[in-house]
Amino acid sequence: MLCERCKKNEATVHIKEFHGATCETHHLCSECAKKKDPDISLENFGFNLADVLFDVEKFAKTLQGNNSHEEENVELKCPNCNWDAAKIKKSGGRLGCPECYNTFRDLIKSALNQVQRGSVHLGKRPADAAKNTPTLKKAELKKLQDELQKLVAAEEYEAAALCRDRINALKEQISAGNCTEDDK
Amino acid sequence: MSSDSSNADILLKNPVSFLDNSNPAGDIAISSRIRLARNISGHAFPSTASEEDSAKVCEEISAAAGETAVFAHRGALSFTSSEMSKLDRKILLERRLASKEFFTKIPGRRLLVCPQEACSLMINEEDQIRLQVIRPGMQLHQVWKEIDQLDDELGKHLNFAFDNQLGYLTSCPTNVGTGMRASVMLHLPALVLSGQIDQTVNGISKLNMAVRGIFGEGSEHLGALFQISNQSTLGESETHIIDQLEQLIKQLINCEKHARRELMEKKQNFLLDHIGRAYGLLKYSYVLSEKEALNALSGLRLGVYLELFKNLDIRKVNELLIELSPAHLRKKAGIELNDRECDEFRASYCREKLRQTS
Repeated sequence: MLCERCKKNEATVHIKEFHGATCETHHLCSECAKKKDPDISLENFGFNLADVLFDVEKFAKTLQGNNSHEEENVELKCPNCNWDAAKIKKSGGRLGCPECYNTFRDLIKSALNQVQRGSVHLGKRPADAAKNTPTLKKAELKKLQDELQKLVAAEEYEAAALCRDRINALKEQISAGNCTEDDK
Repeated sequence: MSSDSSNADILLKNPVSFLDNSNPAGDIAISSRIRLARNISGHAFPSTASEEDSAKVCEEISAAAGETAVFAHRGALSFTSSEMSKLDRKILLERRLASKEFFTKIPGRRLLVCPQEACSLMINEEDQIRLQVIRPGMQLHQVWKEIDQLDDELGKHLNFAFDNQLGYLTSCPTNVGTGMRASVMLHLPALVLSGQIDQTVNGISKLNMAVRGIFGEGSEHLGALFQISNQSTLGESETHIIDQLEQLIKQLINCEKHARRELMEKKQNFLLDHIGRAYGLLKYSYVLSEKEALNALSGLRLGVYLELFKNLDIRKVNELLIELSPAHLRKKAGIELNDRECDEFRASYCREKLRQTS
Protein backbone atom coordinates (compact mmCIF):
# COMPACT_ATOMS: atom_id res chain seq x y z
CA MET A 1 0.00 0.00 0.00
CA LEU A 2 1.35 3.44 -0.93
CA CYS A 3 1.49 6.37 1.47
CA GLU A 4 -1.69 8.43 1.14
CA ARG A 5 0.23 11.73 1.37
CA CYS A 6 3.30 11.49 -0.85
CA LYS A 7 1.92 8.55 -2.88
CA LYS A 8 5.54 7.48 -3.46
CA ASN A 9 6.71 5.38 -0.55
CA GLU A 10 5.25 2.25 0.97
CA ALA A 11 2.88 3.03 3.88
CA THR A 12 4.42 1.58 7.02
CA VAL A 13 2.60 3.57 9.71
CA HIS A 14 -1.09 2.93 10.13
CA ILE A 15 -2.90 5.38 12.41
CA LYS A 16 -6.41 5.16 13.75
CA GLU A 17 -7.71 8.47 15.10
CA PHE A 18 -10.84 8.48 17.22
CA HIS A 19 -12.83 11.73 17.22
CA GLY A 20 -15.81 11.15 19.45
CA ALA A 21 -17.86 8.46 17.72
CA THR A 22 -16.03 8.61 14.40
CA CYS A 23 -12.79 6.88 13.54
CA GLU A 24 -10.32 7.97 10.84
CA THR A 25 -7.66 5.65 9.47
CA HIS A 26 -4.45 6.93 7.87
CA HIS A 27 -1.78 4.99 6.03
CA LEU A 28 1.51 6.87 5.85
CA CYS A 29 5.17 6.26 5.09
CA SER A 30 7.54 6.91 7.98
CA GLU A 31 8.68 10.26 6.48
CA CYS A 32 5.16 11.66 6.15
CA ALA A 33 4.18 10.23 9.53
CA LYS A 34 6.99 12.24 11.10
CA LYS A 35 5.75 15.38 9.35
CA LYS A 36 2.19 14.75 10.52
CA ASP A 37 3.29 14.23 14.05
CA PRO A 38 6.96 14.82 14.87
CA ASP A 39 6.65 12.69 18.01
CA ILE A 40 5.62 9.59 16.15
CA SER A 41 7.44 6.47 17.23
CA LEU A 42 6.47 3.23 18.85
CA GLU A 43 7.40 4.45 22.32
CA ASN A 44 5.23 7.54 21.93
CA PHE A 45 2.22 5.38 21.16
CA GLY A 46 2.74 4.23 24.72
CA PHE A 47 4.11 0.79 23.99
CA ASN A 48 6.57 -0.47 26.53
CA LEU A 49 7.60 -4.10 26.91
CA ALA A 50 7.71 -3.55 30.65
CA ASP A 51 3.97 -2.81 30.66
CA VAL A 52 3.25 -6.04 28.88
CA LEU A 53 5.61 -8.09 30.98
CA PHE A 54 5.17 -6.59 34.39
CA ASP A 55 2.26 -4.84 35.95
CA VAL A 56 4.74 -2.30 37.31
CA GLU A 57 2.21 0.22 38.55
CA LYS A 58 0.09 -2.30 40.37
CA PHE A 59 3.26 -3.80 41.80
CA ALA A 60 4.49 -0.44 43.06
CA LYS A 61 1.09 0.17 44.66
CA THR A 62 1.02 -3.19 46.44
CA LEU A 63 4.44 -2.50 47.79
CA GLN A 64 3.41 0.89 49.03
CA GLY A 65 0.30 -0.70 50.52
CA ASN A 66 2.35 -3.27 52.38
CA ASN A 67 4.70 -0.71 53.73
CA SER A 68 2.15 1.97 54.52
CA HIS A 69 2.86 1.73 58.23
CA GLU A 70 6.51 2.34 57.80
CA GLU A 71 7.92 5.65 56.73
CA GLU A 72 11.06 4.14 55.30
CA ASN A 73 11.46 1.41 52.76
CA VAL A 74 8.46 2.54 50.74
CA GLU A 75 10.06 1.46 47.50
CA LEU A 76 11.68 -1.86 46.78
CA LYS A 77 15.22 -1.37 45.56
CA CYS A 78 17.84 -3.92 44.59
CA PRO A 79 20.49 -3.71 47.34
CA ASN A 80 23.18 -4.57 44.80
CA CYS A 81 22.52 -2.16 41.94
CA ASN A 82 19.80 0.23 43.24
CA TRP A 83 17.42 -0.79 40.43
CA ASP A 84 13.72 -0.19 41.19
CA ALA A 85 10.31 -0.73 39.56
CA ALA A 86 10.44 2.65 37.82
CA LYS A 87 13.79 1.79 36.23
CA ILE A 88 12.48 -1.59 35.09
CA LYS A 89 9.68 0.25 33.35
CA LYS A 90 11.96 2.91 31.86
CA SER A 91 14.38 0.35 30.46
CA GLY A 92 11.63 -1.64 28.75
CA GLY A 93 11.56 -4.57 31.15
CA ARG A 94 15.25 -5.02 31.84
CA LEU A 95 16.77 -5.78 35.20
CA GLY A 96 19.90 -4.24 36.66
CA CYS A 97 21.94 -7.21 37.82
CA PRO A 98 21.60 -10.94 38.57
CA GLU A 99 20.62 -10.08 42.18
CA CYS A 100 17.49 -8.29 40.87
CA TYR A 101 15.99 -11.74 40.22
CA ASN A 102 15.90 -12.20 44.01
CA THR A 103 14.84 -8.67 44.83
CA PHE A 104 11.94 -8.59 42.39
CA ARG A 105 11.08 -12.30 42.58
CA ASP A 106 7.29 -11.80 42.79
CA LEU A 107 7.20 -9.28 39.99
CA ILE A 108 9.35 -11.48 37.78
CA LYS A 109 7.24 -14.56 38.52
CA SER A 110 4.16 -12.98 36.96
CA ALA A 111 6.20 -11.81 33.98
CA LEU A 112 7.60 -15.29 33.44
CA ASN A 113 4.13 -16.81 33.53
CA GLN A 114 3.22 -14.62 30.57
CA VAL A 115 6.16 -15.30 28.29
CA GLN A 116 7.65 -18.62 29.30
CA ARG A 117 6.28 -22.14 28.93
CA GLY A 118 7.56 -23.32 32.28
CA SER A 119 8.85 -21.90 35.53
CA VAL A 120 11.82 -24.19 36.16
CA HIS A 121 14.99 -24.39 34.11
CA LEU A 122 15.38 -27.83 32.51
CA GLY A 123 18.25 -27.09 30.17
CA LYS A 124 22.01 -27.29 30.48
CA ARG A 125 23.79 -26.20 33.65
CA PRO A 126 27.28 -24.87 34.24
CA ALA A 127 29.60 -27.73 35.21
CA ASP A 128 29.85 -26.57 38.83
CA ALA A 129 26.16 -25.71 39.41
CA ALA A 130 24.38 -27.63 42.17
CA LYS A 131 22.93 -30.85 40.80
CA ASN A 132 19.62 -31.02 42.60
CA THR A 133 17.58 -31.05 39.41
CA PRO A 134 15.50 -34.18 40.14
CA THR A 135 13.58 -32.30 42.86
CA LEU A 136 13.05 -29.33 40.58
CA LYS A 137 11.98 -31.54 37.72
CA LYS A 138 9.44 -33.32 39.91
CA ALA A 139 8.07 -29.96 41.06
CA GLU A 140 7.69 -28.89 37.43
CA LEU A 141 5.99 -32.20 36.62
CA LYS A 142 3.43 -31.67 39.37
CA LYS A 143 2.76 -28.16 38.07
CA LEU A 144 2.28 -29.40 34.52
CA GLN A 145 -0.07 -32.17 35.60
CA ASP A 146 -2.25 -29.62 37.40
CA GLU A 147 -2.15 -27.39 34.34
CA LEU A 148 -3.18 -30.32 32.11
CA GLN A 149 -6.22 -31.04 34.24
CA LYS A 150 -7.31 -27.41 34.04
CA LEU A 151 -6.81 -27.33 30.28
CA VAL A 152 -8.83 -30.50 29.75
CA ALA A 153 -11.61 -29.16 31.97
CA ALA A 154 -11.65 -25.97 29.91
CA GLU A 155 -11.71 -28.05 26.69
CA GLU A 156 -8.53 -26.37 25.45
CA TYR A 157 -7.42 -29.51 23.66
CA GLU A 158 -4.69 -28.00 21.49
CA ALA A 159 -2.88 -26.52 24.50
CA ALA A 160 -3.54 -29.70 26.47
CA ALA A 161 -1.80 -31.80 23.82
CA LEU A 162 1.28 -29.57 24.04
CA CYS A 163 1.20 -29.80 27.81
CA ARG A 164 0.93 -33.61 27.64
CA ASP A 165 3.99 -33.75 25.33
CA ARG A 166 5.99 -31.78 27.85
CA ILE A 167 4.86 -34.04 30.70
CA ASN A 168 5.98 -37.08 28.74
CA ALA A 169 9.35 -35.52 27.90
CA LEU A 170 9.85 -34.57 31.54
CA LYS A 171 8.92 -38.08 32.75
CA GLU A 172 11.50 -39.54 30.39
CA GLN A 173 14.14 -37.18 31.73
CA ILE A 174 13.29 -38.06 35.32
CA SER A 175 13.36 -41.80 34.65
CA ALA A 176 16.64 -41.42 32.74
CA GLY A 177 17.91 -40.19 36.08
CA ASN A 178 21.10 -38.58 34.94
CA CYS A 179 20.10 -34.97 34.99
CA THR A 180 23.36 -33.37 34.01
CA GLU A 181 23.83 -35.39 30.88
CA ASP A 182 20.32 -35.80 29.56
CA ASP A 183 20.12 -32.44 27.85
CA LYS A 184 23.33 -32.75 25.94
CA MET B 1 43.74 -11.49 17.43
CA SER B 2 44.07 -8.27 15.46
CA SER B 3 42.08 -5.20 16.39
CA ASP B 4 41.56 -2.59 13.74
CA SER B 5 38.57 -0.93 12.10
CA SER B 6 39.92 -2.04 8.70
CA ASN B 7 38.95 -5.53 9.91
CA ALA B 8 35.65 -4.94 8.12
CA ASP B 9 37.61 -4.97 4.86
CA ILE B 10 39.06 -8.36 5.78
CA LEU B 11 35.53 -9.69 6.27
CA LEU B 12 34.55 -8.60 2.79
CA LYS B 13 37.05 -11.03 1.30
CA ASN B 14 35.16 -13.94 2.92
CA PRO B 15 32.12 -15.43 1.30
CA VAL B 16 29.31 -15.00 3.84
CA SER B 17 29.37 -18.20 5.84
CA PHE B 18 25.64 -18.65 6.23
CA LEU B 19 24.97 -18.32 2.51
CA ASP B 20 27.07 -21.26 1.39
CA ASN B 21 25.29 -23.49 -1.12
CA SER B 22 26.43 -26.87 0.14
CA ASN B 23 23.73 -27.08 2.75
CA PRO B 24 20.88 -29.42 3.61
CA ALA B 25 17.47 -28.20 2.40
CA GLY B 26 19.23 -24.96 1.40
CA ASP B 27 16.79 -23.99 -1.32
CA ILE B 28 14.15 -23.11 1.28
CA ALA B 29 15.95 -23.06 4.65
CA ILE B 30 18.76 -20.56 4.07
CA SER B 31 20.51 -20.58 7.43
CA SER B 32 20.32 -21.87 11.00
CA ARG B 33 21.44 -19.72 13.89
CA ILE B 34 21.61 -20.15 17.66
CA ARG B 35 22.41 -17.39 20.10
CA LEU B 36 23.18 -17.87 23.80
CA ALA B 37 22.93 -15.09 26.39
CA ARG B 38 25.22 -15.29 29.42
CA ASN B 39 26.31 -12.95 32.21
CA ILE B 40 29.04 -13.16 34.80
CA SER B 41 28.07 -13.59 38.42
CA GLY B 42 28.73 -10.59 40.66
CA HIS B 43 28.61 -7.95 37.91
CA ALA B 44 25.74 -5.63 36.97
CA PHE B 45 24.14 -6.12 33.52
CA PRO B 46 25.64 -3.89 30.78
CA SER B 47 22.94 -1.20 30.78
CA THR B 48 23.52 -0.45 34.49
CA ALA B 49 27.21 -1.25 34.86
CA SER B 50 29.74 1.54 35.45
CA GLU B 51 32.25 2.34 32.73
CA GLU B 52 34.99 0.80 34.82
CA ASP B 53 33.03 -2.40 35.45
CA SER B 54 32.10 -2.74 31.76
CA ALA B 55 35.75 -2.39 30.73
CA LYS B 56 36.74 -5.02 33.30
CA VAL B 57 34.03 -7.45 32.15
CA CYS B 58 35.05 -6.89 28.53
CA GLU B 59 38.67 -7.79 29.28
CA GLU B 60 37.63 -10.79 31.38
CA ILE B 61 35.43 -12.20 28.61
CA SER B 62 37.99 -11.46 25.87
CA ALA B 63 40.63 -13.31 27.88
CA ALA B 64 38.31 -16.32 28.33
CA ALA B 65 37.49 -16.30 24.60
CA GLY B 66 41.22 -16.21 23.88
CA GLU B 67 41.43 -19.61 25.60
CA THR B 68 38.99 -21.21 23.14
CA ALA B 69 40.29 -22.76 19.93
CA VAL B 70 37.75 -20.83 17.86
CA PHE B 71 38.59 -17.31 19.04
CA ALA B 72 42.29 -17.92 19.75
CA HIS B 73 42.79 -18.63 16.04
CA ARG B 74 45.12 -16.01 14.62
CA GLY B 75 42.62 -15.20 11.88
CA ALA B 76 39.97 -14.22 14.44
CA LEU B 77 38.95 -10.56 14.34
CA SER B 78 38.08 -8.10 17.06
CA PHE B 79 35.89 -5.00 16.61
CA THR B 80 35.45 -2.18 19.10
CA SER B 81 32.09 -0.55 18.60
CA SER B 82 33.21 2.98 19.53
CA GLU B 83 36.14 2.97 17.10
CA MET B 84 34.24 1.96 13.98
CA SER B 85 33.03 4.09 11.08
CA LYS B 86 29.29 4.15 10.32
CA LEU B 87 29.83 2.19 7.13
CA ASP B 88 31.85 -0.56 8.84
CA ARG B 89 29.12 -0.87 11.46
CA LYS B 90 26.53 -1.41 8.75
CA ILE B 91 28.74 -4.09 7.18
CA LEU B 92 28.57 -6.03 10.46
CA LEU B 93 24.77 -5.60 10.61
CA GLU B 94 24.31 -6.79 7.04
CA ARG B 95 26.49 -9.83 7.71
CA ARG B 96 24.34 -10.55 10.81
CA LEU B 97 27.35 -10.42 13.14
CA ALA B 98 26.17 -7.53 15.29
CA SER B 99 22.84 -6.02 16.33
CA LYS B 100 21.72 -2.40 16.17
CA GLU B 101 21.78 -2.29 19.94
CA PHE B 102 25.49 -3.16 19.88
CA PHE B 103 26.25 0.24 18.37
CA THR B 104 24.39 2.37 20.93
CA LYS B 105 26.69 4.21 23.27
CA ILE B 106 27.66 1.92 26.08
CA PRO B 107 31.31 1.53 27.09
CA GLY B 108 33.23 -1.73 26.92
CA ARG B 109 31.60 -3.16 23.82
CA ARG B 110 33.55 -5.54 21.65
CA LEU B 111 32.75 -8.07 18.94
CA LEU B 112 34.88 -11.15 18.32
CA VAL B 113 34.50 -12.99 15.03
CA CYS B 114 36.08 -16.33 14.13
CA PRO B 115 37.83 -16.59 10.73
CA GLN B 116 34.91 -18.01 8.73
CA GLU B 117 32.36 -15.88 10.62
CA ALA B 118 30.37 -18.92 11.74
CA CYS B 119 31.03 -18.11 15.42
CA SER B 120 30.92 -14.66 16.92
CA LEU B 121 30.66 -13.14 20.36
CA MET B 122 29.21 -9.74 21.27
CA ILE B 123 30.46 -8.41 24.58
CA ASN B 124 28.30 -6.01 26.64
CA GLU B 125 25.32 -5.87 24.33
CA GLU B 126 22.00 -6.38 26.21
CA ASP B 127 23.79 -9.17 28.09
CA GLN B 128 27.50 -9.37 28.78
CA ILE B 129 27.84 -12.34 26.44
CA ARG B 130 25.88 -12.96 23.28
CA LEU B 131 27.45 -15.99 21.66
CA GLN B 132 26.33 -16.84 18.13
CA VAL B 133 26.84 -19.75 15.77
CA ILE B 134 25.35 -19.57 12.30
CA ARG B 135 25.51 -22.21 9.56
CA PRO B 136 23.95 -22.53 6.13
CA GLY B 137 20.80 -24.61 5.59
CA MET B 138 18.73 -26.53 8.08
CA GLN B 139 21.11 -27.85 10.74
CA LEU B 140 20.04 -26.57 14.14
CA HIS B 141 21.23 -29.67 16.00
CA GLN B 142 24.72 -29.36 14.50
CA VAL B 143 24.75 -25.65 15.40
CA TRP B 144 23.63 -26.52 18.94
CA LYS B 145 26.48 -29.03 19.27
CA GLU B 146 29.00 -26.37 18.29
CA ILE B 147 27.66 -23.59 20.48
CA ASP B 148 27.15 -25.93 23.45
CA GLN B 149 30.81 -26.90 23.29
CA LEU B 150 31.98 -23.30 22.93
CA ASP B 151 29.78 -22.31 25.88
CA ASP B 152 31.37 -25.12 27.97
CA GLU B 153 34.83 -23.88 27.04
CA LEU B 154 33.97 -20.30 28.07
CA GLY B 155 32.39 -21.66 31.26
CA LYS B 156 35.73 -23.11 32.32
CA HIS B 157 37.10 -19.59 32.67
CA LEU B 158 33.99 -17.59 33.61
CA ASN B 159 31.57 -17.93 36.48
CA PHE B 160 28.18 -17.51 34.78
CA ALA B 161 25.26 -15.96 36.66
CA PHE B 162 23.03 -19.02 37.22
CA ASP B 163 20.08 -19.79 39.45
CA ASN B 164 19.07 -23.36 40.25
CA GLN B 165 15.45 -22.74 39.46
CA LEU B 166 15.61 -20.00 36.82
CA GLY B 167 18.72 -21.14 34.96
CA TYR B 168 21.01 -18.62 33.28
CA LEU B 169 20.13 -15.11 34.45
CA THR B 170 19.73 -12.53 31.70
CA SER B 171 19.15 -8.80 31.57
CA CYS B 172 15.59 -9.31 30.30
CA PRO B 173 13.38 -12.08 31.77
CA THR B 174 12.29 -12.97 28.22
CA ASN B 175 15.66 -14.75 27.79
CA VAL B 176 16.09 -16.31 31.24
CA GLY B 177 16.56 -20.09 31.59
CA THR B 178 18.42 -21.48 28.60
CA GLY B 179 19.27 -17.98 27.37
CA MET B 180 18.85 -19.56 23.96
CA ARG B 181 17.26 -18.16 20.84
CA ALA B 182 17.35 -20.61 17.92
CA SER B 183 16.22 -19.44 14.52
CA VAL B 184 16.05 -20.48 10.89
CA MET B 185 15.88 -18.13 7.92
CA LEU B 186 13.35 -19.39 5.38
CA HIS B 187 12.63 -18.36 1.82
CA LEU B 188 8.88 -18.75 1.28
CA PRO B 189 8.05 -17.08 -2.05
CA ALA B 190 5.27 -19.47 -3.11
CA LEU B 191 3.41 -19.03 0.19
CA VAL B 192 3.63 -15.25 -0.31
CA LEU B 193 2.61 -15.40 -4.00
CA SER B 194 -0.36 -17.65 -3.31
CA GLY B 195 -1.54 -15.43 -0.45
CA GLN B 196 -1.21 -18.15 2.18
CA ILE B 197 1.52 -16.51 4.20
CA ASP B 198 -0.59 -14.49 6.66
CA GLN B 199 -2.58 -17.55 7.63
CA THR B 200 0.67 -19.48 8.10
CA VAL B 201 2.22 -16.74 10.22
CA ASN B 202 -0.87 -16.62 12.44
CA GLY B 203 -0.70 -20.37 12.93
CA ILE B 204 2.96 -20.22 13.96
CA SER B 205 2.34 -17.49 16.51
CA LYS B 206 -0.24 -19.72 18.20
CA LEU B 207 2.45 -22.37 18.70
CA ASN B 208 4.51 -20.02 20.86
CA MET B 209 7.11 -19.56 18.13
CA ALA B 210 7.99 -16.17 16.71
CA VAL B 211 7.99 -15.34 13.03
CA ARG B 212 9.13 -12.10 11.45
CA GLY B 213 10.23 -10.79 8.07
CA ILE B 214 14.00 -10.47 7.71
CA PHE B 215 13.63 -7.19 5.85
CA GLY B 216 11.07 -4.42 5.89
CA GLU B 217 8.24 -3.83 8.28
CA GLY B 218 4.81 -5.30 8.93
CA SER B 219 3.15 -7.00 6.03
CA GLU B 220 5.62 -6.11 3.27
CA HIS B 221 7.20 -9.61 3.16
CA LEU B 222 10.27 -8.13 1.44
CA GLY B 223 12.23 -10.78 -0.42
CA ALA B 224 9.84 -13.42 1.02
CA LEU B 225 12.48 -14.05 3.70
CA PHE B 226 11.32 -14.99 7.18
CA GLN B 227 12.91 -15.86 10.47
CA ILE B 228 11.27 -18.46 12.69
CA SER B 229 12.50 -18.66 16.28
CA ASN B 230 11.58 -19.99 19.71
CA GLN B 231 9.66 -17.61 21.95
CA SER B 232 10.05 -19.33 25.30
CA THR B 233 13.45 -19.91 26.94
CA LEU B 234 12.40 -21.38 30.30
CA GLY B 235 10.81 -24.71 31.20
CA GLU B 236 12.18 -26.85 28.37
CA SER B 237 15.64 -28.17 27.58
CA GLU B 238 17.57 -26.75 24.62
CA THR B 239 17.26 -29.96 22.61
CA HIS B 240 13.52 -30.10 23.25
CA ILE B 241 13.08 -26.51 22.01
CA ILE B 242 15.20 -27.28 18.92
CA ASP B 243 13.21 -30.47 18.20
CA GLN B 244 9.95 -28.54 18.26
CA LEU B 245 11.34 -25.77 16.10
CA GLU B 246 12.69 -28.27 13.59
CA GLN B 247 9.39 -30.08 13.42
CA LEU B 248 7.59 -26.82 12.69
CA ILE B 249 10.13 -25.79 10.06
CA LYS B 250 9.92 -29.13 8.29
CA GLN B 251 6.17 -28.60 8.00
CA LEU B 252 6.70 -25.09 6.65
CA ILE B 253 9.16 -26.40 4.07
CA ASN B 254 6.57 -28.96 2.97
CA CYS B 255 3.90 -26.26 2.73
CA GLU B 256 6.21 -24.10 0.61
CA LYS B 257 7.04 -27.04 -1.68
CA HIS B 258 3.36 -27.86 -2.03
CA ALA B 259 2.56 -24.22 -2.87
CA ARG B 260 5.35 -24.21 -5.49
CA ARG B 261 3.89 -27.34 -7.12
CA GLU B 262 0.39 -25.92 -7.06
CA LEU B 263 1.51 -22.67 -8.70
CA MET B 264 3.45 -24.58 -11.32
CA GLU B 265 0.46 -26.79 -12.12
CA LYS B 266 -2.43 -24.37 -11.83
CA LYS B 267 -1.00 -20.90 -12.35
CA GLN B 268 2.04 -21.51 -14.46
CA ASN B 269 1.89 -18.27 -16.46
CA PHE B 270 1.44 -16.19 -13.33
CA LEU B 271 4.48 -17.86 -11.77
CA LEU B 272 6.70 -17.65 -14.85
CA ASP B 273 5.70 -14.02 -15.40
CA HIS B 274 6.72 -13.21 -11.83
CA ILE B 275 10.10 -14.87 -12.25
CA GLY B 276 10.68 -13.42 -15.72
CA ARG B 277 9.96 -9.88 -14.54
CA ALA B 278 12.27 -10.34 -11.58
CA TYR B 279 15.05 -11.51 -13.88
CA GLY B 280 14.43 -8.65 -16.30
CA LEU B 281 14.59 -6.09 -13.53
CA LEU B 282 17.91 -7.40 -12.23
CA LYS B 283 19.48 -7.89 -15.67
CA TYR B 284 18.36 -4.77 -17.49
CA SER B 285 17.54 -1.93 -15.09
CA TYR B 286 19.73 1.16 -14.61
CA VAL B 287 18.34 2.31 -11.27
CA LEU B 288 17.61 -0.41 -8.72
CA SER B 289 16.43 0.27 -5.16
CA GLU B 290 17.18 -2.07 -2.28
CA LYS B 291 13.53 -3.12 -1.98
CA GLU B 292 13.22 -3.83 -5.71
CA ALA B 293 16.42 -5.84 -5.62
CA LEU B 294 15.30 -7.93 -2.64
CA ASN B 295 11.94 -8.79 -4.20
CA ALA B 296 13.51 -9.53 -7.59
CA LEU B 297 16.20 -11.72 -6.02
CA SER B 298 13.43 -13.67 -4.34
CA GLY B 299 11.82 -14.29 -7.73
CA LEU B 300 15.18 -15.20 -9.23
CA ARG B 301 15.87 -17.66 -6.43
CA LEU B 302 12.55 -19.37 -7.15
CA GLY B 303 13.49 -19.51 -10.83
CA VAL B 304 16.80 -21.19 -10.01
CA TYR B 305 14.92 -23.77 -7.93
CA LEU B 306 12.69 -24.48 -10.94
CA GLU B 307 15.81 -24.77 -13.13
CA LEU B 308 14.79 -21.98 -15.48
CA PHE B 309 18.21 -20.35 -15.91
CA LYS B 310 21.55 -21.23 -17.42
CA ASN B 311 24.80 -20.32 -15.65
CA LEU B 312 23.02 -19.34 -12.49
CA ASP B 313 22.97 -21.21 -9.20
CA ILE B 314 21.57 -20.62 -5.72
CA ARG B 315 25.00 -19.63 -4.46
CA LYS B 316 25.27 -16.73 -6.88
CA VAL B 317 21.80 -15.47 -5.93
CA ASN B 318 22.63 -15.83 -2.23
CA GLU B 319 25.80 -13.83 -2.71
CA LEU B 320 23.84 -11.10 -4.44
CA LEU B 321 21.51 -10.90 -1.43
CA ILE B 322 24.48 -9.59 0.58
CA GLU B 323 26.41 -7.86 -2.19
CA LEU B 324 23.45 -5.67 -3.18
CA SER B 325 22.78 -4.43 0.35
CA PRO B 326 23.64 -0.74 0.84
CA ALA B 327 26.80 -0.90 2.98
CA HIS B 328 28.36 -3.72 0.98
CA LEU B 329 27.71 -1.83 -2.27
CA ARG B 330 29.21 1.36 -0.90
CA LYS B 331 32.32 -0.52 0.22
CA LYS B 332 32.59 -2.07 -3.22
CA ALA B 333 32.24 1.32 -4.94
CA GLY B 334 35.08 2.68 -2.81
CA ILE B 335 33.72 6.22 -3.11
CA GLU B 336 30.91 7.98 -1.27
CA LEU B 337 27.52 7.42 -2.86
CA ASN B 338 24.28 9.21 -2.14
CA ASP B 339 21.08 7.10 -2.22
CA ARG B 340 20.40 7.73 -5.92
CA GLU B 341 23.99 6.92 -6.90
CA CYS B 342 23.84 3.81 -4.76
CA ASP B 343 20.70 2.64 -6.64
CA GLU B 344 22.49 3.26 -9.96
CA PHE B 345 25.59 1.41 -8.82
CA ARG B 346 23.41 -1.48 -7.61
CA ALA B 347 21.83 -1.76 -11.06
CA SER B 348 25.16 -1.70 -12.91
CA TYR B 349 26.74 -4.18 -10.48
CA CYS B 350 23.80 -6.51 -10.93
CA ARG B 351 23.78 -6.21 -14.74
CA GLU B 352 27.44 -7.14 -14.77
CA LYS B 353 26.89 -10.13 -12.45
CA LEU B 354 24.06 -11.49 -14.60
CA ARG B 355 25.73 -10.75 -17.96
CA GLN B 356 26.65 -14.35 -18.65
CA THR B 357 23.28 -15.80 -17.66
CA SER B 358 20.26 -16.56 -19.77
